[in-house]
Amino acid sequence: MTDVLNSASPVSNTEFETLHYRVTDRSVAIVTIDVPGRNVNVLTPELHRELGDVVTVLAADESVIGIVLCSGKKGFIAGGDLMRIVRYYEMNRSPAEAYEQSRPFSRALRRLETCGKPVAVAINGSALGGGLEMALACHYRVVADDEEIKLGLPEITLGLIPGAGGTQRLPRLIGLEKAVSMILDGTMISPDEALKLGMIDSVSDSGGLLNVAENWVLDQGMSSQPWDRKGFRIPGGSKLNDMNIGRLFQIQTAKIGAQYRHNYPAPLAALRCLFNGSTVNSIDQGLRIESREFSALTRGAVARNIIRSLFINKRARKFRKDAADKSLVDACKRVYDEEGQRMLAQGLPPSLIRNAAWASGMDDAPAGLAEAQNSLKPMNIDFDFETLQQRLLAIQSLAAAELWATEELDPVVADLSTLLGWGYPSYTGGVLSYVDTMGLASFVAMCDRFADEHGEHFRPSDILSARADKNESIYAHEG
Amino acid sequence: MRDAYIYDHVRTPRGKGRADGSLHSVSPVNLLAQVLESLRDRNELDTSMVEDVIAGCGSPIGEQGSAIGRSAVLAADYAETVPGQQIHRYCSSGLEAVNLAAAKISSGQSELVVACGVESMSRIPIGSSGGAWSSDPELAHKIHFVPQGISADLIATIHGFGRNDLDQYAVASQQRATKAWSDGRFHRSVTPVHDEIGSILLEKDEAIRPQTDMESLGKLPPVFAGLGELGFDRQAILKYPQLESIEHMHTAGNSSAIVDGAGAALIGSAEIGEALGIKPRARIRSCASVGTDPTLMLTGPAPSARIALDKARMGRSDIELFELNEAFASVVLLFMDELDIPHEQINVNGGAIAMGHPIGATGVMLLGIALDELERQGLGTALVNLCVGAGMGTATIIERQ
Repeated sequence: MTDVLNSASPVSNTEFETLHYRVTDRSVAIVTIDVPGRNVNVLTPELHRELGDVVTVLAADESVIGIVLCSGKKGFIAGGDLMRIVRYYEMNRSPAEAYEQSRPFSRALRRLETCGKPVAVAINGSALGGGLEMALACHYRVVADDEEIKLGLPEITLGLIPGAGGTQRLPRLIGLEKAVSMILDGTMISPDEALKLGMIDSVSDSGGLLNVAENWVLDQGMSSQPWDRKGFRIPGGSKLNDMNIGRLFQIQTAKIGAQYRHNYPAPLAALRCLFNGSTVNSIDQGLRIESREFSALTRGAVARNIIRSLFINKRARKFRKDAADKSLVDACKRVYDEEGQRMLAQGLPPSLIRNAAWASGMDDAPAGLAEAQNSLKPMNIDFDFETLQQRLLAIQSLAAAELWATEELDPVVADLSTLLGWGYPSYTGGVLSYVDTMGLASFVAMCDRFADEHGEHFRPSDILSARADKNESIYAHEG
Repeated sequence: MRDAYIYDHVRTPRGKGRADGSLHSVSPVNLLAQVLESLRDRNELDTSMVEDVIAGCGSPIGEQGSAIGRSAVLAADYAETVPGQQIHRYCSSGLEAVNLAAAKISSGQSELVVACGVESMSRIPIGSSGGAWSSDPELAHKIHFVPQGISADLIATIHGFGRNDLDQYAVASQQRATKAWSDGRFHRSVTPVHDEIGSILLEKDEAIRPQTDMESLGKLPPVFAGLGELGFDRQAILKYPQLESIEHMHTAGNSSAIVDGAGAALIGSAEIGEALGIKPRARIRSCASVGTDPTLMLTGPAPSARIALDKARMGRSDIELFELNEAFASVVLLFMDELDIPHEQINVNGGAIAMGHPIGATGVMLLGIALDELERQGLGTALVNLCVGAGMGTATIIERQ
């Protein structure tokens, strides 16, 4: 089935590595994306750059009347390069640097949609994340008629947001309400559903994809996006002078507050992009807003933690829930439940302890709170809510760190076991990533402080303290 | 600083704030113009002496937008030299108009100012003007925004008010408002609203339900439980984590009614009163607005009352009559607890639970109701205040002349 695409061998040989193009006898340039050395197309910095360059070349070529983008692989585009996100975090870039590094793909796609020639995309496989963003920047989208194909912007599940126009183009295409739900939920949909939503223009059998795309270039050939035309309005409205829009953002803000408990920056960043980006009257401004938000997320620990543990390490180890280290999970559960009981003994109401566990992101509250009664006047109790949350997580991480300190515990196994086999919250990256994110020395210092304030069970062992003093870290860092 | 005086007050009756409400066919500018006309006519006012018309409005958008104070000046045929403006402090906009007018007088920058307010909630629904507070995700998330009804339920939960407490308070509001009307206590200040051909559209508060009792109120479902489930409850719990949950107890029956209406007060210096030959009815002793936790939102009345008392060098016991907007029953019950106010001393003629809360107008209406009651009972001092959106409170202390 890839024969058709592979037969698009370059007539015009070019200096490009990640893509090549030929011009058909009907003067349409077929640009085939084919990242070398990979089974699937991944959005690399080279592809970002070359996409921008090929658009420049084709826009200037008078013999070309339009462009069709397609994939030279069995799938379309798998998304971004996740290792790069982890490396970016460890590079400790300045905000300005991170912003600049978040721009090239976004700029390339903007150049694509404003190149002055009609651009169609033939989508032969799943288009997720950056792959769909590329498609959204085209003037016409046709997708192979295959229920296995998924289209979506699942970046939120990585602790990220779409960073190449997804938060700007999708609402301009299908309206804020549907776009908010697709982006916040990371929903992946079939070609038929995408057609109904208005996210794509056509579904075709996979053999005829390129023809449909080329025919559109020749027959319709619209070379501008709706949002670049005069008088454009976002379907279904935007801006707060529309009460429905106000209500949408009020409710979605409450929803993510309750769902993510203020621990994950990405859902709020996505909402800000959708809100601010749909309020500005220029998509260029919207794209800059999105790049700023995206770059900030790549500097934060949460995306790194989620990606490193739940994507890179989980895949590398082929880790499954049933492979969880049971003794570690039991140890975590034991100290967690005990900490809950200690809080009770300190006179804290069970409702407060339950809410602290919930707010910390834990799936379950410590055991043994149900029997306890709320004291009569919970409002008169003095407490620091953040400290309570930290205690409930730190006591588990301390147990794991002690095991690690005596070389008994692999951090990757510890993290994946506590994320997948126990309800330790994913934004931390796992029980030892929690320590790693804070830095071992800071973690030990925090535990010492908790030991002074809340009991010796928080006192780190000499071995752990010694390793902290030597400034060791749990995960190797590339620096 | 010199004193500012209240010379007069008028208000429209409050019409049900929906399409079949008696005032729905009247535009907000017309509603406001009718109270300005009434204020002028009953005082035989030379309007060219008025130096500003400050209009409170809760949803200043569309036909209520763009300085409706000035629009009403032109609609009411005041002298064209009279400027007008619009101010917004959510539910206390109308009282804030009074306080700003008083500040203009006290500072000596003005002699005579009309403070007024208007809201046609049937035509411009509450929330129409948007706002970053509630709808900008960044801010709403940061401050744990919840709708006011959730805040009211949160207050009830924290302070242990039960559904019975709220409903009992609401029944009393209905009974008091009913009695106040039948005793003619509002007649002096309520001016009927007329239509285009001069017929009276409404001359009495329309939302009152005299038959309300505990049984009928008990059947009403809590209004805000559904919203709470969408995520607002958990947003509030993150800020008040001692609570197991929020008990949703406010219903359409123990919350303020949605209505249309307008009110106005004539505020001036002692000198202008002498010059115009009109007698001051009360002196404004002090004014205050204050911010409080935006999630709990509706706890501003007591702090604003205390600030106003301090500014007037008065104590709680110096106040003989209280008028606090009945936005929600829990707000009033909390205020009574905090300032140790017996029910007999507060909202003695009922309030917004019975008669309604036309957002931008309520503050100035409450001021007039308190003033009329001081005169009726021969009392000296009253404290008027309101809880306010986004976590604020506004208070004014007046003393009968």
